Amino acid sequence: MESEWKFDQYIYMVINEDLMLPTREPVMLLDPEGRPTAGDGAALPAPDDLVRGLAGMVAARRFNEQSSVLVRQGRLAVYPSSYGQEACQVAAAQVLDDGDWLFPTYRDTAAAVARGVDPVEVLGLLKGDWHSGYDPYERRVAPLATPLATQLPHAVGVAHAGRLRGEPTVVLAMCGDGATSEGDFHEALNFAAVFRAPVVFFVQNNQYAISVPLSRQSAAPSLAHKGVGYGVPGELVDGNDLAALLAVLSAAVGRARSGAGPQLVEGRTYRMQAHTNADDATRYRTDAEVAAWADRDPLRRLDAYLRTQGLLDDARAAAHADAAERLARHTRDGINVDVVPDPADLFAHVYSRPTPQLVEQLAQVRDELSRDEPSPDATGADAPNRAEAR
Amino acid sequence: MRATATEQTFLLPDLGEGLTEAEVVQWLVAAGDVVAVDQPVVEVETAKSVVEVPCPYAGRVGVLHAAEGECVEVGRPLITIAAEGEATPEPEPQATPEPDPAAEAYRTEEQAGSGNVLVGYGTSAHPGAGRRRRPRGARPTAPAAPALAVPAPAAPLAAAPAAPPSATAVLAAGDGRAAPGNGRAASGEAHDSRPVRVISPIVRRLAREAGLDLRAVPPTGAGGTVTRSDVRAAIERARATSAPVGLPTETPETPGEHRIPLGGFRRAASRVLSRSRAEIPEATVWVDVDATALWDLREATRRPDDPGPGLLAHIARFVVSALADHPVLNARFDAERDEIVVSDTVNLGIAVQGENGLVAPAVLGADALTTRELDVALRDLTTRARAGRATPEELTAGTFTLNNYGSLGVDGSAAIINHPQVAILGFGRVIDRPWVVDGQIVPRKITQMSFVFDHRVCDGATAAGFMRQVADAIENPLPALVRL
Repeated sequence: MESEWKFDQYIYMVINEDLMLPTREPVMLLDPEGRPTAGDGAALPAPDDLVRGLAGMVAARRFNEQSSVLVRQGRLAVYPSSYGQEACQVAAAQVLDDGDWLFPTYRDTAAAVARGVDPVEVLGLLKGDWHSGYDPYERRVAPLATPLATQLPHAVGVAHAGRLRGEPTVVLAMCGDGATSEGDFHEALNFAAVFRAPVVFFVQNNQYAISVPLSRQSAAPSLAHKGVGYGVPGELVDGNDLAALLAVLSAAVGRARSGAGPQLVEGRTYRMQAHTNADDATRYRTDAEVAAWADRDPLRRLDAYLRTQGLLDDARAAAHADAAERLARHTRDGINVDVVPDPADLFAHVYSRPTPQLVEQLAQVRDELSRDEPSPDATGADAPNRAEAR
Repeated sequence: MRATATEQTFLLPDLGEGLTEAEVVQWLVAAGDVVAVDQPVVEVETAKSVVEVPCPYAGRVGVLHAAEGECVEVGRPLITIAAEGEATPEPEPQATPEPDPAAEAYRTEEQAGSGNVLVGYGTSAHPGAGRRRRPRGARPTAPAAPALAVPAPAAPLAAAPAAPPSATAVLAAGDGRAAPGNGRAASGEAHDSRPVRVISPIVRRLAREAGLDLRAVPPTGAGGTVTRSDVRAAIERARATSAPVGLPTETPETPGEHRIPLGGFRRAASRVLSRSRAEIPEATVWVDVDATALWDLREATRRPDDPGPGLLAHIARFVVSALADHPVLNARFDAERDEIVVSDTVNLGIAVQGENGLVAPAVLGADALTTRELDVALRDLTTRARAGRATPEELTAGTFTLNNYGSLGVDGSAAIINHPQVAILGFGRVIDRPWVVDGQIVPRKITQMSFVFDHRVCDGATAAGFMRQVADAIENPLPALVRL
């Protein structure tokens, strides 16, 4: 162990701190019109990855639209949409291997879907099922974290544990611009850097923390700059350029897997819609600002590039749309099924042996519910006891 | 969602974390139209914003359950869709349980505030209604809702014949904490100030809504706890023993009257108006003004191709100028800190009768505008405001309001200050009246000006000085224009 630590320190010393700083301008491989920024496009990911990424973004957008509709039909309690951020969502899922872990926030439902979690289960939290989620181990996607940045130390812990066990696991931990002001963000980066945890911190900077603009969030030159203080390399990417995101995130994942430690990636994007359905974004930003970002749409950009390269035709685009439509229908049909909750479930799954207090409370709930049955003089029938019928 | 085999009715959902109702602004479909799944069918206005609601069913529109302008409660029918031929297979229609009072109460409770659903969010069913928590020490069981109509208010509902006579004694004993020989509790008068133990806060709410004193409800729960069924039983007994009783949720109709529910817009306005009258000690001064000179000036600047600035623009310019000399009137009052918060710029509010009702959008930065620019800005703003298209910022940023009620054909108005502003200046119609000029009675263009101000920010002398400055400018515009 002694020699390993010395080697680690040596690696640190030879990394020039300048190399930890992000580029001044976000890394962009395809411009908003879909033209390669470096002439020949040699730096671009493989064509198959790009086509797969576009299909993922088409599905992610349809999923965002369907979920926003479901919330206006009262089927979801709330939906924080990633509309306009589909490149970040899809890239985060696509750069990971099956054995890796993804730690999403509440706005990263499309990323969880892209990683293969059943969309109906992904929406469990936002619909309000008692269990609020899906099996995290099945697709190795941690629960959607609602408190800001709490998922980051968890992600570091999983990554560190994997490294201690000698597993090749890499963890990609997502957060937003607002979360970078949280203490957990600091602790996670610091711990990950010191212990060389294989984590990629992926900040989707969508310019707003609910109504707080980035200018009131951080005075740093960029959020990617925050890495250098911890000894974590930072990279700034155009968050609406799927090609650039795949390239940068893949490199970061590879670097983490090779044992070189964590990396911080800031994807510069924009939250095209309100924070949630309970927010009116026109109160704090102008339509003109939103319209300017519409010109930088991630789907349009990649679609244009792939068509000029002959990698996408109308038939293939239609197949993508059909797949997205099937996803939407599956989501809609699944969410439209009413699940009647059993109050007893509230007591069933936290402790393997329930505490005396829980036993008492369960009895209280059963008693209370048993009183709901119509009294005999009202119906003359011996109605079954609802709580005990289960 | 409620349905028969061929018809499906879409119930209005909660459109934003704890909203209880919405007003139908506009139907986007009519009866007989064919709609697709997720097609927007109606535009509704909630307390938060205007939302297009997509219909979850495909088929032919059967019934629209509310007229435009009507309020629909969350959970009530919005639209009924009949299956259309080979409709796309939809999820099995969900049977809606019959409205269960407890479930309804639970839902109501839930809607009283959703809590922090996401960071930074939490809602209240009463926006702007002030504090949400009852002050410590206040009795949680005080009946706040309209009471169930009971002929003898002295008799608590649960003391109706079916109830055991010593209800509260039972409660006190079961509680195990009542002092022995507590005469008040034993007497059944229920003045014990300690909260009654209940199985859930829902129980308190159920009782409150029924105007029921929980201390008089015989508890049957473990340890003397009042359960929901106890409260429901007490309500039933009260209903059975008292002459005509309506559920408190039903509309208390009186013969010879009918009720008009306030729309969302009017309710919001009524809150601001009530708050203004409740909080602001206002005083009013008024004066008749001879506007002939300004009238002539306005006519003199009129050209065939350019009408020139209107009277209102000139008056607005004089007001902005007078505000510069009386800055405390361009302010709001911070009652928490006992401070006058003076605004550095003038956002000149103008009262406009819009489609939905009266609004007072503001010309932002009016103090930086010339009379001609003010004229353009005022015309643009009033046109947009009438069509309901003033921006949220314009609607809330005013620092002082100008009220041209003369356009409604009246001379005077003791207007209500647009809270949190501190003053409102109004003008009546300009009409020819006999006026004494140099000892002669002559017809002149006369208007009456009224000025309502918050007496906390200044005294009458300041208010009169401000109004006189505007009046003098109107009566003698040339020197005033030279000073601008």
